[in-house]
Amino acid sequence: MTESQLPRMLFVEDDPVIRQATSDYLARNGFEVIAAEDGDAGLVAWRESDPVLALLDVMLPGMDGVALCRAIRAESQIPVILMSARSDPIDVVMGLEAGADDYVTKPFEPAVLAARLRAALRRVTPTDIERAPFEQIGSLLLDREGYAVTRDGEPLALTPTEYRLLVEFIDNVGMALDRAALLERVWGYGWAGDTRLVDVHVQRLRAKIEVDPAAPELVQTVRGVGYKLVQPSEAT
Amino acid sequence: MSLRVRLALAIAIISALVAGGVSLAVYQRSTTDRVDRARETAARQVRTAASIVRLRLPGGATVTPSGSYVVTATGGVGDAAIGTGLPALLQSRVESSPGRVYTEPVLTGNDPAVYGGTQIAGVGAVYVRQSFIGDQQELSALQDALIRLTAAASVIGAILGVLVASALSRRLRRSATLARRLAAGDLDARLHPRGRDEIAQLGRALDDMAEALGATIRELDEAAERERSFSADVAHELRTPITGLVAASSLLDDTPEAVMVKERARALAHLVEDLLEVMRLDAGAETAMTDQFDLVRLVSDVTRDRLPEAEVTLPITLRVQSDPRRLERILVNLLENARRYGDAPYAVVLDPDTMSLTVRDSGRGFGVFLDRAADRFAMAAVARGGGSGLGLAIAEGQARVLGGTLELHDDNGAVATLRLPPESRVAIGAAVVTGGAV
Repeated sequence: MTESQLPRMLFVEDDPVIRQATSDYLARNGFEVIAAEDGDAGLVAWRESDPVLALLDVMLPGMDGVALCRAIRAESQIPVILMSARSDPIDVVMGLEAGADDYVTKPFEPAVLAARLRAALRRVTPTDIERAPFEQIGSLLLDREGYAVTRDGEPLALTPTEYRLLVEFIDNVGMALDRAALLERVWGYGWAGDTRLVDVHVQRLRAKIEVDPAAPELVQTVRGVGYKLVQPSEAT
Repeated sequence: MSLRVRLALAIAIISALVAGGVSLAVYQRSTTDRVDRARETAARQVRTAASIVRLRLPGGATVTPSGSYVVTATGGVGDAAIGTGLPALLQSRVESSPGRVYTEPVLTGNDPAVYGGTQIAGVGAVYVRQSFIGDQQELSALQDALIRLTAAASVIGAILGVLVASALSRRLRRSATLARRLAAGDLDARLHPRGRDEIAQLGRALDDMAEALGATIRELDEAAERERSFSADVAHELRTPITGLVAASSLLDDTPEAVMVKERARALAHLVEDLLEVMRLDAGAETAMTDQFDLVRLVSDVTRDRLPEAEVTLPITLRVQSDPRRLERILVNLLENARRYGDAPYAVVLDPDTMSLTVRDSGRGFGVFLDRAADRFAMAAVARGGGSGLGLAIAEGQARVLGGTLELHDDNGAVATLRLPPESRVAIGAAVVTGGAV
C-alpha cells in the first residue's frame, strides 16, 4: 500500500545506463531501490538505508563488489546477489566464497533479474508452515515459526539461503539430495543453475552448524550424488 | 641391452683379449727360450760325451744294437735304454753327417726331453738325453700364472668398464632427465655440463635447445594470455552496453516501435552471448564441471519446458556423470532448433544402451545446412526466425566438451543425435516408453 512496505534493496553499479534503467525497472516492479555508483558509496548507502537485499556489480571502481559483499556479510545476513560481466569462473567462486547467495551474469533480462531477487527474498519468508513447528537434529533446534536455528540453545546467524538449505535437509533427513535438486528447491533454478552455488553454501552451512566443519557429522557428502543430513544416533 | 651393459661387456672383452694375447706371447717366448737352452745344454753334453768316448774307447763304452755309443745326460756312459726314445729324424741326420752335432726336442708325452747326437768317425754315434721335465713344470706353472692374470685382467676390465660406462650412462641419463623435465613443462631445467667431450657437447646443445624452447613457449603463453584477456575484455565491453540497452528498452511502453526495439535488443544480446560462447569453445577454453545426476529427469524437465508437444521415449532412470548445464544447453538448442525450423510431430529419444539422445522433427530437414556445416550462420541464412543460427555449432562444441559427438542427418525431417561417452553412464533403470513429456 505504501512505499515503506516494499522491500528496500541496495543496487551498486558503475555503468550509469545500467544503473538508471535497472533501478527504474526494479522500482516499477515492486522494489525500493537505493542505487550507488561505486563500492565505497555502496558501503555508505548500506549503512544508512539498512536494505533487506543487496545487488552488487563485481567490477566496480575502488572497493569492488566482492570486497563490498564481504564487508556486508561481516555484519549482516541479508541476501547478497552479485552481477558479473566476465565469464571468468574465478569471479564466481570468489564472490560465492565472500558470502554471496547467488549471481547473475550480464546481460540479463530485467524480468529474470527481478525474479531472482524475489526468489532470494522468498527464502526469508518460508511458506512450509504446516510442518511441525519445531524440529530437533542432534544439538540443533529448528524453529520454523520463529524462523530461527539454535545450537545447544545458542542462536545461529544463518543467511536466508543457508536457512533454506538447512530446512531442505531437515525435511529430507537421511535422504541423499543431489545438487540439481537442491539448486531447484533452494534457489529456484532449473538445470541451467550453477552447482557450485550448492557446494559453496553447504561449506558455509557446515562452518556454522558443525562442531568440526572439516569432519562434518550432520551434513555429509554422498560421493557421486550430493549431500544428506544425518540424524545423530544420540540426540543430546 | 642398455648402453651401460654393452660398454662394460666391450671393455671386459677387450681386456680379456689383450691380457690373453700378451700371456700367449710370453708363454711362447719362454717355451722357445727354454727349448733353446736345453738344446745348447744337449749339444754341450754331446761334445763332452764325444770327448769321453774318444778317450776311453774301446773299453767302457757300450755298443748299442744300432752300433752307436750312447751317453746319458747325467754324464754316465753306457745306458742303452735311451735308444728307444731317439727321434728318427735326429738319428738320420747324425748318421748322414759325421762330425756335426745335432739336437732335437721331444716335448710330448710324460717324459719330455731334448736329444742330442753326433757321429764319431770310425766309432759310431754318441747320443745324449737332456730331460725337459723341470722346464716343462716351470712352463706349466707360468701358464697357470698367465691364465690367472688373464682372468684377473678381464674381471678388472669388466669392473672398470662398468665404472666408466656408469659415468657415461649417468651423464647421458641426466640429459634424458632434462629432456623429460622440459617435456613435462619445467622450462627452467638446465644441465650446465662441464668438460669438452661429446656428452658435454650434447648437454650444451640440450641447454641451448631448452633456452630457445622456453623463449618460444613463453612468447606463445604471453600471446595466449593476451588473447584470453582480450577476449574477456571484449566480452565485458560488449556486455555492458548491451545490458544497458536491454534494461533501458524494457522500460519502454509496448508501442509497436518499442516492441521492435526490445526484440532487436534481445536478439543482439543473444547473438553476442552465442558468439562469445563459440569463441570460448573454439579456443578450447571450456572444461566440463561434472556431477552425478539423473539424465532422464533433465531430459523430461527441459523437454516439458521447451517443447512439451514432443513424444519422449525415456528409461525410468539413467544416472550419469556429466555436466548438467552443458547437457541442458545442448538439449535446449536442439529443441529450439526443432521448434523454429522443423514441424510436428517431434520426438525425443534417450537410449541408455548407446548413451545417445536423439531429437527428431518432421520438417524439411537440415538439407543445405548439412553440406554447409562449416558455415556457422548457414542455419540463419536458410530460415530467418529468431536466434543467431549458432545453436547447432554451440551444441556441437558443447558435445565435444562433454567428450561426446553431435551427428546431424535427414530422415523425413531433421535428426540430431548427441552421443555421450559410454563411461559417463553410472546406472540404468528399466526402459519404458511414455506418451509425452506433459
